[in-house]
Amino acid sequence: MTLLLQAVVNGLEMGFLYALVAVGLTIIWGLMEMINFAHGEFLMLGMFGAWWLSVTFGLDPLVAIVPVGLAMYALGVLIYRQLMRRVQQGDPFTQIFATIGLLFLLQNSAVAVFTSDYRYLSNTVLTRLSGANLHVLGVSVGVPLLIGALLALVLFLSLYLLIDRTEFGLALQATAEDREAAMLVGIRPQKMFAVAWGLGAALVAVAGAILANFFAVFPQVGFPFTVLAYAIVALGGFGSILGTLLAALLVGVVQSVTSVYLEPAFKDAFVFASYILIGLLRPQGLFGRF
Amino acid sequence: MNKIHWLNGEGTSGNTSIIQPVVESFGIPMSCHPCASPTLTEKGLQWFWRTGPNDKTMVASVFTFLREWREQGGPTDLKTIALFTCDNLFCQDNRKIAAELAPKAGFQVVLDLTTKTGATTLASEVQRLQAANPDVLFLVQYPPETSIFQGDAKRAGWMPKIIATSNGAYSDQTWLEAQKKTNGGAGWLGRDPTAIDLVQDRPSWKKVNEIYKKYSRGQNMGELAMREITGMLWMADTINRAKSVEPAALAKAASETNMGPEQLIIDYKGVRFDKTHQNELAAGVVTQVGWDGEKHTIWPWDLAKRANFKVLYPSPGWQERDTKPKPAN
Repeated sequence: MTLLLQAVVNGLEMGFLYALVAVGLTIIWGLMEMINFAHGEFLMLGMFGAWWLSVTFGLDPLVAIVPVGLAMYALGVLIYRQLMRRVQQGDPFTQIFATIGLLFLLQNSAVAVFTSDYRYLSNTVLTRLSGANLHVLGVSVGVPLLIGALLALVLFLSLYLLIDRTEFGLALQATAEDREAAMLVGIRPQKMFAVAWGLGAALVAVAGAILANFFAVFPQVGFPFTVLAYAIVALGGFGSILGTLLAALLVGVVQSVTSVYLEPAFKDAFVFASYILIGLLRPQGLFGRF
Repeated sequence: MNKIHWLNGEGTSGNTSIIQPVVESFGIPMSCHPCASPTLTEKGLQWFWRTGPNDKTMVASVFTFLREWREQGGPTDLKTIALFTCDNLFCQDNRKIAAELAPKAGFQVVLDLTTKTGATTLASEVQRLQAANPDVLFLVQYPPETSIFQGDAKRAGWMPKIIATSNGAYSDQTWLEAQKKTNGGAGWLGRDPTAIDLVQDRPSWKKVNEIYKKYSRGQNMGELAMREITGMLWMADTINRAKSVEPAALAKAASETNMGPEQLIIDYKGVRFDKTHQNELAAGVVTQVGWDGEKHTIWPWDLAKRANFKVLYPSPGWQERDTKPKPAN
């Protein structure tokens, strides 16, 4: 029983981080219905940003999330204005190939600048706390991951409030729902799309800055997270921010629990099996609307 | 493939095995020196050569050390082992060899876990390892997964008596350098194709290392680089002897190779190919990372004696790693 409880707690901790990784995609893909295969590369840039600020200026990644987030917001807006705005007019396949091209451009640029070497962060607040645990009911909760998870939760809930409870968020949702109707009430869709791309890039880069404390930093690091993020957004329901959070927690727990009792090599297969199962019963995802 | 005279690479066994049939059909010499999967040469291809030792040789080194260590005054209470490997060709080759060799070396395999390459967490896997409580952990993982394992094992407070590895992170110089900031690598042992700590005794090796450092942001040659450079030296020797870049002439010269250890910058006994084009003189050693963050030769015994390093046993716990001074600080 303790084994199971421990696995659930481990899964929940990772789930919060997955939620922050996936929520940027919820905004771009789920809410604005634009496909972004370069999502994991934004995460990778966030990780490299945190690593670079740490080794160059001694800035802790928990502080670096501010400059990294701002820089990636600007990059997200720039990418929308210079690339996605143009391809948005065309076929969905044009969007797919544009973002696949962007994926390779960003990944290869990182190889050119940083090489394919693995980079590691040490001596940060969270790495110094590694090994520190809280013990509850025989289950140990890793303090660094817990801090990372709580931080992710705070950012996540802030975004939820921004999207769901503010005029700006309502404008974003209105643009996603009916662009022409939104224009009639004075909303500028291009601006909303640009903000969505900026927010999406910033959020996943902030997730990257937190993850840099726990993972090796290298140009291809984003891909496994992209795959999980797509499953999470689809599972939670397109455009549903709270759905993303719950789906991310579910994915974390499924990965963790199945790895305890079944072959760990197939942990992602169990995640996608869960998606297929829920998709059969509820094709719009847990909290999605058609 | 037009106008190509020789294809060197690709660096991973999995990708190389995909490329091999294409190159073979074009009749062009191909080599991959860091690739260690035995299957690459066991296919008996006409146009593929490997100067480096394969995993059978290198994993056998680890198990020979563990078996002979008992007779050399090492611990006699190491009875159980867990295999913890990723799911690609390289890791699975190592897993199969280890599964075959472990019982012969007197170990009972108590857990055999294959993990996903590109895993984002290994916490559950560590739970299972902790529950199985093996004396020895045979770990074959790439650097990202190895660092995830370290984080999850530290969090669980778990450390086996021995962590034995084969290639992967253990061969990656950036991983080794990073361990110097945390003491994370202290006590890890693994196979290497060369006694890297004895390199300084050999002037020619030292010279090559100085050149290497100029192009690697000051990093020392790791064993992967040594294997690759040895392969390049052999290619140069082959081209010189062939006096041509025609495939047939190159293949003939390659097969007739007979280089002595004095021509190499690695601890092979020489370069001479068997009928499968595997270098039959490629050898392996076993090294262990010390508190200084460097690898020290601990097997074969004659080289270990020269290295004069006392094996760290049991593998230090996490608290000891945290409290001891770190080599990089």
